[in-house]
Amino acid sequence: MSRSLTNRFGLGLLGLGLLSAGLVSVCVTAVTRGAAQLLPSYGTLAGVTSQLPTAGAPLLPADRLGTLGGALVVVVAGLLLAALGLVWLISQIPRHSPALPFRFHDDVSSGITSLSPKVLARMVDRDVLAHPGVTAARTVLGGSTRSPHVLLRLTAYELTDLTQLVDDLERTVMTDLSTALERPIEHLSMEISLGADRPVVKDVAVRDHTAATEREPQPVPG
Amino acid sequence: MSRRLRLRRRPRRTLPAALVAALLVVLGTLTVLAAVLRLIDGAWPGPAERTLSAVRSLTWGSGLVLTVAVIAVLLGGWLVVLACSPGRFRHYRLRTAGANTEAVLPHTSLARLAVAHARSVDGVQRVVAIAAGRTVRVRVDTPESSTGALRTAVTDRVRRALSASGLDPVPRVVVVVRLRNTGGQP
Repeated sequence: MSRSLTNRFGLGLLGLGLLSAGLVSVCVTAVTRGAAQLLPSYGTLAGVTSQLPTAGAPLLPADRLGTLGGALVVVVAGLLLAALGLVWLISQIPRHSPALPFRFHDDVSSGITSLSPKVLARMVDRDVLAHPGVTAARTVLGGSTRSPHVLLRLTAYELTDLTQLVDDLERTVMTDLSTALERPIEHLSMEISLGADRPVVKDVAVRDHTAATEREPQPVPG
Repeated sequence: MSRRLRLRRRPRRTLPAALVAALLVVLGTLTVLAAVLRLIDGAWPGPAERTLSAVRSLTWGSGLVLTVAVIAVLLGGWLVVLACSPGRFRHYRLRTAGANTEAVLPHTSLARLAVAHARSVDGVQRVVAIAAGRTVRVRVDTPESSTGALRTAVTDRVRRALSASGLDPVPRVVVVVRLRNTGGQP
């Protein structure tokens, strides 16, 4: 069951429980406070109203919490509650199913060629970061060599031309990666966030031949 | 990750579910702790005893019961709404060339884009933008009295930026300009 469905089911169940308990309590309180006179005193309703508690009656019937058995029941109930909550809480942690290595060999007798998707993903990251305006990139590859999926999460400078960026990324990532994998990419997903960080111009380490020094990349002015 | 990823989706209600789950864990742990102490010592520990006696002394028709019941109704109703309502999207879709490509932009990022472009208009002192669904609301503070002209300029600039960003569809832009007197300046 998906996380969304589990959450909605759990919240809905709890909500319905609270809602119905609250509504019943409100109705009973209203009756004990004198609303009973408004109800017809005949038929089945008369039977129901006579069963209802009167004002001042204790909310809970005499409990057995003082006994040993009562405490044991409470321990079990508490354990169940805590375990249920813990499982539900843990299921909120996002998990990525481990990506399989891409396997390029057809016949094991002639050798095995496999490539970790992480290695490939770092290479894509580097390519994406080379695009103008991109300040951070994180690629996740999935699927198999036969049907590769790409998830690209990146941050770009807020004044970057988004149409151009999406267009470029779509073209280069799809082309380069499908060349590397020798397969067309089945699906490419991009989540582009914008940030105020200005991109650092890469690969402009100026080599001064006379002084033979390298300068650090400088942030773009403006 | 064998399933196809969908970036633009309805909220998964992670935060409320995590809060409720954490509450269950805390309640369950405290209950087990109290009951185990009861089994060891033969008497409920102080806080548990006080809670128990308070619950035992509750009577029908009392104001406290009614208050708790009303709170339960409101809270339960809210949880049911959270469970049943699909919830708003938090991403905008960006136009892509290929059919098997998907690109999305978070609402917060679109607000940031609107702010960045509005700030570049002359006469703008402070900008706040909220992007929610089909409307982007931009609030601009300015020390200049020609608020009408500034409003048109900002609206134009932001609208142009949004249509250039490849959003599909392009949200509506609503700009509000407020006159702010900055004390020291003439």
